[in-house]
Amino acid sequence: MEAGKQTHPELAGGFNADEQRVDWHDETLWWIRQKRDKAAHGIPEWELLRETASQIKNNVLSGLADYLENFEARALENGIKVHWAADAAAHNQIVYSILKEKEVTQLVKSKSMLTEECHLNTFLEEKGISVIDSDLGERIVQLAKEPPSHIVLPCIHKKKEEIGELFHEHLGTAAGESDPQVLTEAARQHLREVFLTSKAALTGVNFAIAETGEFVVCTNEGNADLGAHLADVHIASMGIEKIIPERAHLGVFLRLLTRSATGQPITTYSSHFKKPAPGQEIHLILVDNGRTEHMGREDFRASLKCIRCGACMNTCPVYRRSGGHSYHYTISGPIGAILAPNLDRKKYADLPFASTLCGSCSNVCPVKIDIHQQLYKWRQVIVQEGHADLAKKVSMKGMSLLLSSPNAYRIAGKSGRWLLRHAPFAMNNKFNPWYKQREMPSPPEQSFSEWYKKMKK
Amino acid sequence: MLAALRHNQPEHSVLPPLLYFPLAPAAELKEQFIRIATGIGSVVHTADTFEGALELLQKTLQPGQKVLSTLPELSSDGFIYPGKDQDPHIYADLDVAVFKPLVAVAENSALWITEEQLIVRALPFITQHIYMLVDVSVLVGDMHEASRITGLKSQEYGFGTYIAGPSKTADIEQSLVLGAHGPRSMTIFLYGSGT
Repeated sequence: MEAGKQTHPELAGGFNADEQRVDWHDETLWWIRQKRDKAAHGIPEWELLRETASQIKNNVLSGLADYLENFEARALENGIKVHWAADAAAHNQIVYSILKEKEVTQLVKSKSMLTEECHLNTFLEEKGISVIDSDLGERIVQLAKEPPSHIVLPCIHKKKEEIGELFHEHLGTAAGESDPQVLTEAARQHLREVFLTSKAALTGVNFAIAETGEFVVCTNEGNADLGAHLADVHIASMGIEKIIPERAHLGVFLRLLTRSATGQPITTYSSHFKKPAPGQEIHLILVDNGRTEHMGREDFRASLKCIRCGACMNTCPVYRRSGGHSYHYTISGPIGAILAPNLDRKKYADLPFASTLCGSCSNVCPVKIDIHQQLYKWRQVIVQEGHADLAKKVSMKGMSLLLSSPNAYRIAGKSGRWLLRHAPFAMNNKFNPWYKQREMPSPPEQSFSEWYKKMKK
Repeated sequence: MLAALRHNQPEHSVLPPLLYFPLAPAAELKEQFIRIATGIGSVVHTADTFEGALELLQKTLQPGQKVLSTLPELSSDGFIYPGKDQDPHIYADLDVAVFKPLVAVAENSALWITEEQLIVRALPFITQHIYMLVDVSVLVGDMHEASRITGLKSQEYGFGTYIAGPSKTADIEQSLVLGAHGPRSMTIFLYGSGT
């Protein structure tokens, strides 16, 4: 789905047309948030873990260039081939040249938000290479020709009946079949065949250890490992911020990652790739794609600490009720809304406004990114640079005039209350975006200052 | 690229101290391990001795299953023993694979195993069912201790993995299904007294 020029409120409007689906989406994600809470509360030292993870990541940001050099040196010693990609195009070209050299026409891929960011699939398909996403959720959205709507739960927006239809069309399951057990089994059989016949596999990277030159990939399904170990060539793509200094630090992050994501104690598989197996090649691509520039923005660089757990999405009242696709960026939710403007402030000018600034995202973030503060700061940058839409600009100007004059404020308050009481249709209509999917509140009899004056008498 | 990165990096921020939490008594670790392993879909059997565990393991095997063992103690008739540098594709129809992990973590029931024991890297993922023989004495409390032990120079590996339970997915409406792409079940034989 190419979102085109539609903004978050417009896309969310589409999602909100089906009220039952919104409720279902909202409740499902809140249930995952509750599982996260239960897992976190089971660890007495949880807050110490978050603080430690945050400090380790602060250290990583402050010494990233050295860590990357160290990581590269160790990885090369281990026999891993290391590539550097300045941007998405360079990354895609590197992947293509490796596949071309090996005359590979089918690539099996496990979850990698970075390759989504680089639009690798379309690039390779144009070159005649078929790419098969092997994570079940990613395979489902790939068959549906949609991007993932959540970084950890790619098809969280889809009902099992819709998945049943897709599988009936593409994998030959019985019409009307929607049992998750049966559908998962069908995908298992289909993807087994893919694993067994693919000569090249691509995986993402969760953590790369500067001290040892190894990288760690976490999955529940076992798809990254099946792909990588059965292929002659394993390509691993990582953003340069995925570095951690020492192997001993891994314990902290593996304790936090899945508990924050889904409430599990750990993923089923946490695989450490250090050296290629005999006869196999491992290629590691270190991708910048705007990260260095991002590092230079003091107010916003902390978002590079993100370990992609998705906790901020699961807890976000706006994400839960607007769906991942309304963010029209690879990474949705609060973290996506602060990452996207780094790449294109004009295109993603609407995203930092898709928040109530309630701060729930910052409270659950396992590496303590100040997400809601950054959302607030991005709004100021975006308005100052003139990327906000006209309605927002005019209303902000109006509000600032109103709030700077006590007299105007009193008159406006009074007339607003009068209007809501005597002519509710003036507010409760489709021209007022606050009226969408909501009732306007009933107006109070008097303002606080009127009440206060009366009480003083 | 690195010059620009150096220029844009914030000023030096110190690393926090490594975390360490005292180890709980062995009986507590064992109870926690069993509870968490069962909670994430593994089946746990206990035995007093290694021989007792092997006996239990033999009993749970079904006739006609293609069973692979990476343990010399179990490489007799009826078991396949993998060889170094084999093409992993020959194991596509494997029913059961038996391993002996090096470290078991009580807080999440993860079992650490490296290429040394796996012999062929794809084995624990390609098999339909996975059996783990776990000595109580390899139990540690948490991932900090596990990271320390598995990172020792003497533990050098080309590939190593923590495995916690059967492969699983909840991608379809958050309904948990065991047996996504890897093993459909994990059976753990926990043995010994931990002394």
